[in-house]
Parts: sequence; structure tokens; C-alpha cells
Amino acid sequence: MYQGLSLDQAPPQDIPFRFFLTAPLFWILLGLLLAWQGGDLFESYINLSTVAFTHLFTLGWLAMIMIGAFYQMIPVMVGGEVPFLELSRWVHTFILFGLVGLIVFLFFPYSQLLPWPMAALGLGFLLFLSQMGKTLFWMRGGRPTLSAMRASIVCLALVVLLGLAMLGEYASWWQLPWEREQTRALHILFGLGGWVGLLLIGVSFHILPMFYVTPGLQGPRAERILLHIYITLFLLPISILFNLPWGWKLAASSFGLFGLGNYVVTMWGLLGQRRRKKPDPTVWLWQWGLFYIALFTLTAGGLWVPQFDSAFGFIVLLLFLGGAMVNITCGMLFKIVPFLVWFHRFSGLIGRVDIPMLGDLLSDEVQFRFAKALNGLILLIFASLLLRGTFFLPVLGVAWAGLGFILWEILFSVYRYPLKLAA
Amino acid sequence: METLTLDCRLLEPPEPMIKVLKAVSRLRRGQQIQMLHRMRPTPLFAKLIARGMAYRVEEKGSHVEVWIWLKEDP
Repeated sequence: MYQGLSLDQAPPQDIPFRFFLTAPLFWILLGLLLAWQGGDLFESYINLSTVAFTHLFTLGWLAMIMIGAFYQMIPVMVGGEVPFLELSRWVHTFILFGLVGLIVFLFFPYSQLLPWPMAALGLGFLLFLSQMGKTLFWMRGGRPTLSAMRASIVCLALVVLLGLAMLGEYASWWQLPWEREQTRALHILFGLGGWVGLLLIGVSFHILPMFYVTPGLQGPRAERILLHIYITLFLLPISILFNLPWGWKLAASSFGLFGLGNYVVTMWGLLGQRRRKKPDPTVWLWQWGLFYIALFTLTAGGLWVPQFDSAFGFIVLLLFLGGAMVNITCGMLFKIVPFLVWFHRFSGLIGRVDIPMLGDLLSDEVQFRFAKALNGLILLIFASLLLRGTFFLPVLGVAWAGLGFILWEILFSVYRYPLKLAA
Repeated sequence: METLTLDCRLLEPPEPMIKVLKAVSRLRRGQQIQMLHRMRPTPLFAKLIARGMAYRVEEKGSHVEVWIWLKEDP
């Protein structure tokens, strides 16, 4: 029987919240960049504003949420103790300034500007990886959640190394022994499939049964899902580095895509088996996320097929990032943030004074409204891209930025929810 | 000893903790709580100790039982 949460070892709430409250600011910047550049962002992978757009999302939104969640989850989910917890402040500062510096460099590509964001990002991630690596790899046990988190951290290290290597090559400081396209493909693979994908999957094996009272999932089925993804993460880099024909890359990808498909079916089934079937906005967000993962699974093989152009590639990657990851990270935030605030600030007062419940901190109505606005906007963005109506994108970008502001307001209001004592 | 049974097996977090701690705040000598849960409610234990409670955990296969009583009681 799994252990649930071990909140005795929970870090102070300020640590994850520093990251959770920064992430929506980059969501806003994403929207503003989309409003400014519109369809130009989806013309070419090597367009510098496209690179900026991608990293505002992957580093600004995703990495901030995931790093904050890591600091919270490592002690409470797997029982490990993160060394030098106070260093999280420096991790946040270095990554924040490194990302801002990177974005500035991408718009003003003078190589003299590059060392500072590279050093900041490198240091920030090095600190984070050192803390998490020590904790995760010193722990005993191999249950799926722990295995996935370990693999996710290894993939993050590879992503960061590849990213820094590409930056240095772009600034003509060095030349990598393979083509830039190959480096980029590996960077995307380890980033999305490894760091993001494995972390999401591993964590969901634990928190879905925990929060939604579903059957547990830490046994052979979970291991099979992960194994298929591990096979792809092993075979696909080899086929990329040795520049094998696209058929080999497609074959290597098929294991991971099968695992991902198995994951979607499994988690959809789990959510359907939750004991209390009351409407839950976070379940709704999870279902939208799983839907987009399913679409990604069905289309991602086409990324290797030469007949499909870059426009197809953008749509496929957006299905995963803009569709799946946005929904799932929002669903997780709406579940975790009120719970963290409630536990740290109010749980000690149970039975002594009237305390707010989770629904008081963040109502289902607010969550549903946000979730509907979010998915409506995502669908409109996809429609614009698919129907080549990219002239709508600037307006949608403004809407996206506005939604990011609303999200920040929601999270901040939960974080600062006052305790109202009876007179 | 008088036993108050709280079945928390189908409750989502944090309802089990709320239910038990409210009952704990009303517990008297000679009374005990039998909490039924689908998992080991580890976050609860430090809060029980902080409120002067003693507890015992029994793993029953399909669920967990946590017995809670005042520390002064035998």
C-alpha cells in the first residue's frame, strides 16, 4: 500500500510558491510575444523569436512550475530530504535572470551578451540538479514514481548541456561534432520526452490516486508504460546521432508513443474510477490534457516523415506543449496550491477556530471559468494555425496574456488568503 | 473504552484530517477514535502528537486503521 503524502518533511510554503508565482509572468510574456509576432513565430524552428517563444514556455512556465513542484514533492512524495533547501532561492534567481538574459540575447544577438545568461542558467540548473540528484539517487527503492523522477532529472541534465552547447555554437565559440539539427532534435527529445514527460507521468501515478481516490498505480502496468518510454529515450538518440534513415527514427519513436498511448488509456480509466464523481475542474483539465496527449501520440511519428513540413511539426509540438502541458500543469496547480496553503497555514487550527476549506481558498466556479476560457483559447489558436488564419494570432496573444494575468491573480489570492477569526 | 469510528476511506484530502482532528478536539478520557483510511495518513501523525494524543497504526491489507486516544489514558 503506498504511503500518500509525508507532509512532516514539507518545505516551507515560500519555496515552491516563489516558483509558482513567477511562472504566470512568463505566461503573460508569451501572450505579448504572440501578439507582437503573430504567425511569424510558426515559420521556422531557427527563427530567433521562435526560439524565444519556445523557451519562455519551456523555461519560464514549465520549468518554474516543475522545479517548484520538485522542491515540494521530493520530501513529501518519496520521503527524501533535499539538502541545503535555502539554495532554492538561488536556483530561482539564477534561472529567472538567466532566462531574461537569454530572451534579450535572442532579440539582440550580440555574442558579448551571451556569457551572463549562460552562466546564470548553468549555475541555476547545476544547483538544482545537485540537490535533487543527491536526494533521488541516494534513496532506496525503485517504485515507478521514483524511477521516473530519477530519469527525468538525468534528462534535464542532458537538456541543459545540449542547450548551453547550442548557444555557444551559435555564438561561434565552438563547433559541435554533429549538425545543429541533430543537437536540436536531441534537445527537444530529452526536454519534452524525458524531463517533462517522465516527470509528469511519474508524478501522476502518485497524485491521481491520492487526490481523486482512484485505485493505486505503482505496479507492473506503470512499469510497462515507463519501460516503453525508456526504450525510445535510448534508441532514438542513437538513430539521431548516427543520422539513420527516417524509418529507423520512426521505429525508435514507436515504443515511447505506444507507452504514451497506454498512459492516456490508463489514466483516463483511473479518472473514470474515482469514487466521488462530482464535477471537478481539475479532472476536467486532466481530461483535456490527456486528450491532447492522445492527439500528439497519433501524430508525432510524422515528425520524422520527410513529406510533412515544418508547419505540421509546429502543430504536433503545440499539441503536447500548448494543449497537454498547459492543461495538466494548471490542473495540478489548482489542486496543489490551495492544499499547500491550507496545510501550512490553517490545518493546525482545526477544531480550535473556524478555518477556511479548500473550496473557500479557490472555488470550483473560478477554476471552471478559467479552464473553459483556457481551452477555448487553445482551440482558437489551433484553428488559426490549421486554417492559416494567422492574422487572428495577435488578438489571441493579447487574450493569452490576459489569461496569464488572471491566473497570477488567482494563485496570489490563494497564497495570501486571510484567516478571518470570528469576533 | 468508548470507541468512535470514523470511516475516511472514500474521502479526498484534506477531509480525513479535518474529520479526525475535529473529533480529537472533543475527545475525553475513556474515549478512543478508530480511523479507517485507504492509506497510511502520515501527515496526521505529527498533528496528533502536537495535540497530546497517542496513536497506533494497524495495516489491514485493504485499509489502514489508526487508533487514537489521549496520552494520559492507558
